[in-house]
Amino acid sequence: MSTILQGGSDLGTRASSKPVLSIKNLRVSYTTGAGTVNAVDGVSLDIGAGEIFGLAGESGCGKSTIANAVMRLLQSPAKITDGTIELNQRNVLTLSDEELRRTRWREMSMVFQSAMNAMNPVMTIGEQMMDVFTTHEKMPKKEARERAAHLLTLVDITPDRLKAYPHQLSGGMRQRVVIAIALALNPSLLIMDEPTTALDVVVQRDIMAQIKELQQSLGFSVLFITHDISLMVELSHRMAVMYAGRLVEVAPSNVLLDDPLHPYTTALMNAFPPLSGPRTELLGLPDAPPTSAGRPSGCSFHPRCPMAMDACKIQDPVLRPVAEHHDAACLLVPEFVIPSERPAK
Amino acid sequence: MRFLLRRLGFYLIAFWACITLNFFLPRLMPGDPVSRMFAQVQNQMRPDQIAALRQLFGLTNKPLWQQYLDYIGNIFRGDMGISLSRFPTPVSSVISSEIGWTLLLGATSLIIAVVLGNLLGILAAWRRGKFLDSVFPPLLVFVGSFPYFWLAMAALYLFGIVLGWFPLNHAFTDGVEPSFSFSYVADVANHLVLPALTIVLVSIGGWMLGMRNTMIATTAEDYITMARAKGLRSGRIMFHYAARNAMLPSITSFGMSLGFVVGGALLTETVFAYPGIGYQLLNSVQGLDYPLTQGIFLTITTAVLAANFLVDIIYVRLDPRVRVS
Ligand SMILES: Nc1ncnc2c1ncn2[C@@H]1O[C@H](COP(=O)(O)OP(=O)(O)OP(=O)(O)O)[C@@H](O)[C@H]1O
Ligand code: SF4
Ligand SMILES: [Mg+2]
Repeated sequence: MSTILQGGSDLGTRASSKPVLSIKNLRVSYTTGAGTVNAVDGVSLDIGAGEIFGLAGESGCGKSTIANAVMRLLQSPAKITDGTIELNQRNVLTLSDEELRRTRWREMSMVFQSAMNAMNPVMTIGEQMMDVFTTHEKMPKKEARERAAHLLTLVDITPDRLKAYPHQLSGGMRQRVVIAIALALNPSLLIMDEPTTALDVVVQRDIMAQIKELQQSLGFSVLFITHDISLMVELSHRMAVMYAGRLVEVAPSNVLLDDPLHPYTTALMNAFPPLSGPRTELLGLPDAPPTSAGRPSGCSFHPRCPMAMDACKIQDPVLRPVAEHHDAACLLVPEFVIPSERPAK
Repeated sequence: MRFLLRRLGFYLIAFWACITLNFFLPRLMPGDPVSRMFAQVQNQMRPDQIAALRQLFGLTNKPLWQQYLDYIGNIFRGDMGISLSRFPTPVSSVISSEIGWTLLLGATSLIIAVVLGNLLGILAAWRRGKFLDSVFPPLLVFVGSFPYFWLAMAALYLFGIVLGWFPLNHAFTDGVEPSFSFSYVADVANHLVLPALTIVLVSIGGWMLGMRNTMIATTAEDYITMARAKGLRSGRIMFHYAARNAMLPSITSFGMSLGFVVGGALLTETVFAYPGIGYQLLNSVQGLDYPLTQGIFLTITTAVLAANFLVDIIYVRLDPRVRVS
């Protein structure tokens, strides 16, 4: 199984061909009585065709907000204040309601963080699979049922479970059904927001191995969000580490694992094997991540950073290349000049 | 199925408890209430009728268990004794002559209020804060807060007297022979409009608000988000995903109300001089007509239990989760 899970050998070059998803300078804020939180504060990232892209970071750093922004599922009090999100070269943020409806699930689908409650308790799983086909492909019921049955077999569930209701399935099965629904229309992008958090470790591994297999045969791209860094490193080709609404390091997963450059990434990597429960303690970092109280001056990470210097309190590091296919936002790490761009002597 | 059988068992036990209570209550009364009750009609009664009533109230020399068995046997034969206030009509014929009107009025207005109220609630919640949601709930609550009596009189005055659109009283025009002809049905419907309308007006707000609130809570559920993410059409999400779940609590209240329809609508019957159980119940209590009071209560209990069982059946169809629990 672990051979299936071996990803990350590819040095992130896939992203350089036309990206499936391209987020540029995305900003999302939540305005509540307590004030405004910039939950996503200028995030840019590209995901290439067939690439599995991991997004890691502490609870509350803004991962789900990015995922929901891409699906355009954010609702008040969330507001996208800036940026573009291009899916297959089309800006998702400017689609009309009807265009958006057609794009959802056909081009991008999502497995939710709370996938346990993602299915309607009063409809059979068959009905909930079939309506994807009947809506998007105007398929007759009979054919939709056959397609749904086929989908179930993809995730190793016997088609007779089509008649089952969600509560009749185990957690792992329910999650596999949700994944099957997500793959129904062969989308180019699958977003998985902590898809296995509620499951036990064995089931979790099983399911991820299955995703990897399906990903290889169907070729979709994945935006994968999880707290489980070890799982993410195994599964994804490239990873981004997020802190307080910003990406602080982006690199191929194995590079990030062996040679993290940002002190926050190092802390995350040191905290693995699997993170679960209260993140801050396991990270061995003092204090909590910045919240609505506002962002610290200079580098947001400086109050907790073991390497912080005086300059960190003043200067805000930007995310920039620090090695080939490797970006980081830390004053300690010198900028990397791509060889071809080096000024000729 | 096992769930339904268990429920049925429960209702049968409740029914039995109710009949038994009905049997013992008069026997627990001090003195000889029966003689007092009979006083007003005694001289019109034939001896065998008095004997039957005495038996009904346990004033015979038979052992208690024998009386109990006789009583239950009578109930199942539909024999609930003889009405004192409408002597010598049997209680069962008093009830059966009125219950049709009560059911017609009660069920019609309840169903209209529930269907319309829930539909309005669904739409208001779906377009939260928009026109329907900001105008209807306060308006209906306002109307619902009027004393019913006042509202009914106003409707009667406006639509009955001033505009003359609808008849002022009774369930059908005097002297018309009940039949299954179109003209008779139309006449009955015409007489039904005002009484039913006033009941709908005062009750619809509650249904709408209840549905709106559950519906809003439901739209925050994860499966609604997923349904939106799936790119389903708004109407499908609203009805198949949100409303189907939000409806469940409404079904329970509907069952309750349906059962109590049988108790009649006293105020409506009074204002519109509409026949029905409510008025009979009032009369029987005022006239110390114990057999009739008991008969009506027994009928109401039976109806409430039956309606609840009906709701259980519907519920099982709508919520698969109760099938296992
Ligand atoms: N509905 C909301 N109202 C107000 N603020 C919110 C809301 N949802 C999220 N936030 C804010 O946005 C920040 C990012 O939330 P988000 O759910 O994206 O975090 P996350 O990285 O997915 O966390 P987790 O790992 O716990 O799922 C949070 O710190 C919170 O302050
Ligand atoms: S910029 Fe300074 S505070 Fe921020 S991560 Fe680097 S060393 Fe730490
Ligand atoms: Mg999240």
